[in-house]
Amino acid sequence: MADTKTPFAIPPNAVRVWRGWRGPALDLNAFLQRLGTVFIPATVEMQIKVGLDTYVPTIPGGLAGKPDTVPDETAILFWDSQQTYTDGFETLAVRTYTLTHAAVYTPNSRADFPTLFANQLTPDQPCYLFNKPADWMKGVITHLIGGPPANVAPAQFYANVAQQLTAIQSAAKLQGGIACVGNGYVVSWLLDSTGSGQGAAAAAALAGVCGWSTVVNPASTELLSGFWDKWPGMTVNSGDSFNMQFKRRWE
Amino acid sequence: MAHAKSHPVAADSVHVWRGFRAPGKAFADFAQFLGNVFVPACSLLQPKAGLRAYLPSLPSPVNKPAAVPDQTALMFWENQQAYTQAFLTPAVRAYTNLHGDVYGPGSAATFPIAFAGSVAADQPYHLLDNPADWMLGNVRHLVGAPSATQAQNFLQAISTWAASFRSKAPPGIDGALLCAGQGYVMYWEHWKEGQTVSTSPLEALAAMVTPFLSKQAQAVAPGGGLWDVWAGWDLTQFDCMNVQLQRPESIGDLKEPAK
Repeated sequence: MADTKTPFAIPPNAVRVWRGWRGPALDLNAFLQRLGTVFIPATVEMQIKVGLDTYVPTIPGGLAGKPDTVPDETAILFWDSQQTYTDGFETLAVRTYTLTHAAVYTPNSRADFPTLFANQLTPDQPCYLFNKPADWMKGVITHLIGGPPANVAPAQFYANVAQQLTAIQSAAKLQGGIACVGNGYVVSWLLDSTGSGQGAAAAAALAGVCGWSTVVNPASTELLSGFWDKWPGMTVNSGDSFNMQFKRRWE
Repeated sequence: MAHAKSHPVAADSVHVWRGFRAPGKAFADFAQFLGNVFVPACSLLQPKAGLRAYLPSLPSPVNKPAAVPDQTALMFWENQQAYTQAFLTPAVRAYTNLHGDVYGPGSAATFPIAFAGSVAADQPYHLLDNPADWMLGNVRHLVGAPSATQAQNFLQAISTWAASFRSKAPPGIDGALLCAGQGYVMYWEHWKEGQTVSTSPLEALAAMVTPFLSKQAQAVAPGGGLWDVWAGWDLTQFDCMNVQLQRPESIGDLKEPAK
């Protein structure tokens, strides 16, 4: 457990990359409400003490023109290490948090750890572009969410995305990069701690190989209440993206 | 754990829960989910929001008719309003989202009303009216199905028993709760702290039914906090618990959100 190191070096592969699709049990409004009143606050409140370091949820669900193949919710969740994430399930807090999601998402919704990108993409296997630690909570993140053009086959789409990622990786102008492709979607998070605009440029390059796409900058957002305070929760709308600000256990 | 300060609450401030497994949910999976997550989560997430006593039980599944609940529980709150207010906290909303797909039709939690001479199906009643602290003292719990001789007019027989109980409750008992349907009965009685549990009208009720649980609840403290390494309870072993909660002095401890 990294409980005394400041600043703690968060490994680039210690991140769960979440792609979630809304299940049929909830309509869009109920889904957004559930995210704001339960899931997003609970993700922070229930997991800080077991080593959550960064949480960036985004809700493309409900955006005009979004293909159904593109996730309704994305998130990156950084931990002290991959082992920290695994160990969390020994605590009631994490088991409880995990099971609150059961009825809300479709079975194909998933989160995975990434592997280092090496010019090729495997569907539904996230990758990271830069093999160095970074603190994504403190930097400027540009997040791309997109789908393939109508006339591009999946394999070609993956190759086109991989080509752009290779260029971004080779340029080495960013402090962090994460991407994942799958059947009918691409998601990518780009960390530009210097504010140079390189993240936006990289996202634009990726958007260039998409059909539908959207690019957002997660807003730094702090929970205003504790877990047992009277609080109705956050207001969440389609297209919102949050970089949740909280005090890590090692801070 | 230091001896808890007594905190009596009103007789009608309890949610009386009867849970039935979802169709297709195996008992082993049901018990494991409840023991690993659900029962510990209730015990740890809700006291700060006003939960004052929690008594979960798991009747034996062996030859149990479907009409008999697979799980029972009493959840005492500071008062009925505290239960409603608890949903204003993210913690209780998170807990509530846990119910998921484990429970099936017929599962319900309702507040009791005072018994007034007859028992309606699925309506919980408090047979005594005074406040009590159910976390302290001793609780006996019975879950059963009508015996062959009681299958006809079961609720009438239960009503007669309840009326008799109310007229001559033992002085050591300061709380009693009853809920019955055509195919089941659940009954709890609370013996005041310091009172020796002895013969009670429960025996007469037990004689009317085939019991699937008839026990004195075991006082058990959680094996860890929310963020501790703790696997939860094996509810096939801890099948009738009086969970020893960490209760705040008052739910005035609930805070309005920071501005």
